[in-house]
Amino acid sequence: MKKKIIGIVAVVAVSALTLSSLVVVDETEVALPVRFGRISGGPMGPGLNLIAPRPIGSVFRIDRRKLLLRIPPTEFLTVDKKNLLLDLAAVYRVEDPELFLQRVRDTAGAESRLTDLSIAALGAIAGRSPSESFFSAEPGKVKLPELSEEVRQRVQEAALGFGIRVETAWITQVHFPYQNREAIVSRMRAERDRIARRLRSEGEEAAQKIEAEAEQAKRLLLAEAARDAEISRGKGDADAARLYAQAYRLDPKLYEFIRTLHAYEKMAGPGTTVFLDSDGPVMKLLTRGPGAEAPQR
Amino acid sequence: MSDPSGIPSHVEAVWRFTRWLYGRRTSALLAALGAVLLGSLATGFRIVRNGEAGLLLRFGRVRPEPVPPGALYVVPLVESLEKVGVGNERKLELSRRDGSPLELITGDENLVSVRAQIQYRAEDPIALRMRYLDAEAVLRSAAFSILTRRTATESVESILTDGKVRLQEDVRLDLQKECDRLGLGVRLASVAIVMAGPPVGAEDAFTAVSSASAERERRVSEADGKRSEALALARAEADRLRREAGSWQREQVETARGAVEKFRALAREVAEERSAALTRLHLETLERVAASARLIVLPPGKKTQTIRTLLGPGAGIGGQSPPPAPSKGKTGEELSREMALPPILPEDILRGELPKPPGPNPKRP
Repeated sequence: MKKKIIGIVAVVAVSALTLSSLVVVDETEVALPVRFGRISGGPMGPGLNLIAPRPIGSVFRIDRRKLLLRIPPTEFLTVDKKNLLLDLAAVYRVEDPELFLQRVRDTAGAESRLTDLSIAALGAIAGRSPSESFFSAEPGKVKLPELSEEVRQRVQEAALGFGIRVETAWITQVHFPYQNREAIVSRMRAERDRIARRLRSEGEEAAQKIEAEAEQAKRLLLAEAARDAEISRGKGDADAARLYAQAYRLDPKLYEFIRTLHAYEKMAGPGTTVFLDSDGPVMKLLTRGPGAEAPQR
Repeated sequence: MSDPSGIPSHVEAVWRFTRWLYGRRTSALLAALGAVLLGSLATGFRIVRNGEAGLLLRFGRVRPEPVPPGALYVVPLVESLEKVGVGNERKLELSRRDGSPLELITGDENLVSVRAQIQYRAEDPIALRMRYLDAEAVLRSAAFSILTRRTATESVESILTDGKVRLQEDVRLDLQKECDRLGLGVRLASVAIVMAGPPVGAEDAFTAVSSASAERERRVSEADGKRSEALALARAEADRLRREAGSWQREQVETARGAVEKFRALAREVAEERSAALTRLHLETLERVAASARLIVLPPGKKTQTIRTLLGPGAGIGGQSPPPAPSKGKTGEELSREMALPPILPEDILRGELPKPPGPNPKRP
């Protein structure tokens, strides 16, 4: 019976010891074994790991995923004295957990160091770059990727000292400070106003040109028509004249006589006064009677 | 149902079962343990749905192959399962934190407001969940940097008009390259610039440009309309002029023809008895003239006085200058010629000796 009890106690003790020295490390982290508060071995990868039984040993877990650091917009002066606000983002990961633990302890500590380093690097690089490196109509002049890479290298050099690898750095955004932005907006407004005015005057010019052309075309059309009309009338005149001339040649005297009578008829109207001589051939018959005829003959 | 001892029958049954169980206590304990074990094992069944990938972790370490959709068994305490959505497309809005559009600097040193949307699919669940703390934030930062870089070489005109589509495509290609380089396990479906506009504070100036452009179009089309109208009217007018002249021409010719025919007929008639016919024509004309005109017969011997009395001193005749004072001894015929009176047909006309009348020269309409 005593032996049985000792056996049970032994089994329980061994299981407890085993369980307390087993550590499950997650895929996303790396663990450092610690014995009496001091790092006692190399980093342990994901899976089941064995350490010195608690409370002698324990582990320190560090995130081994890639992390994103965003640096708030900071104002820099370019070499051509333009103020620019730059946003930076960096992807980093803990490369040397031991060093990381010793130097910065945790992510917050690391990020504060990285932020300081990045701003310093960015300031140095911006300070010797022209503003065309940040924006330019000539595609070859914009050097944002190159500048970002330079920042990354500079930060990397220092960050290796606390076990961090900076994988990528990006200048994510470029802004103008408030006053400069206002100036640019008002310049844009002025440009647009100019364009609007130009468009309006272009429209007026084009319209007037069209209208002038229309007027010209209209005059030409009417002039051509008037010319054709004159030609027609001339032909009419000529043909009529030829016909009249034929008649005239037939009996010129008769023609003249008839034409003259016709003209008299046309000349006389309701307002005309005609004096007739009582001695004339028309009236003498009326005034003198049939006897008047005889003595003259 | 109760027996004489007074104990209820169901209490009796429980008591009997307890005694029976106690007699088999070892087997009962084992059965209970077995049930608990089976129960806990049964909790290990899991289902991975369509559009998900399962990541199986054994003691925290991920199995390299994601578990496809379907049922699987996860050993309790040893394994665990994480599900990651992979099939469905995710959206990422690129804007400021407060949702307002981004303001980017263009190559010509202008500003442009942009709002973009990225659609992507996670193709590598392990990368998404295990290699990055926040893969989406990384994607967002990468997208910002590429959008900034690409905009920095464009002109504001181009982004606001036809360059937008090219810009989207450039950003998509660059961003995909960057994602591949980083091993984000992301496949971009599209990058869309959903809004590109003037910066805050300059919108009205841009609107004014587009309305000026519209006004230009309107002014030009108005002028075009006027031109068409004017030309149509001018063509109609020209046509009218030509037609009028044409009909005038025909009219002249036909009138002349008619007159000539009439004259021919007259000439034939006159050929018979010339003198009588001419006298008849003369008298007929006189009749017609007299029908509408005022007719005054001058009495023999007192012609001049009569005319003077009738017309009054200084009066013109027919709008002409006043007649010269007739001198004594002038005949009535002389006087009537001087006064431009219609001459009474003299004898010489009958002989065909009139001064030549003006040729056929009818007035135009």
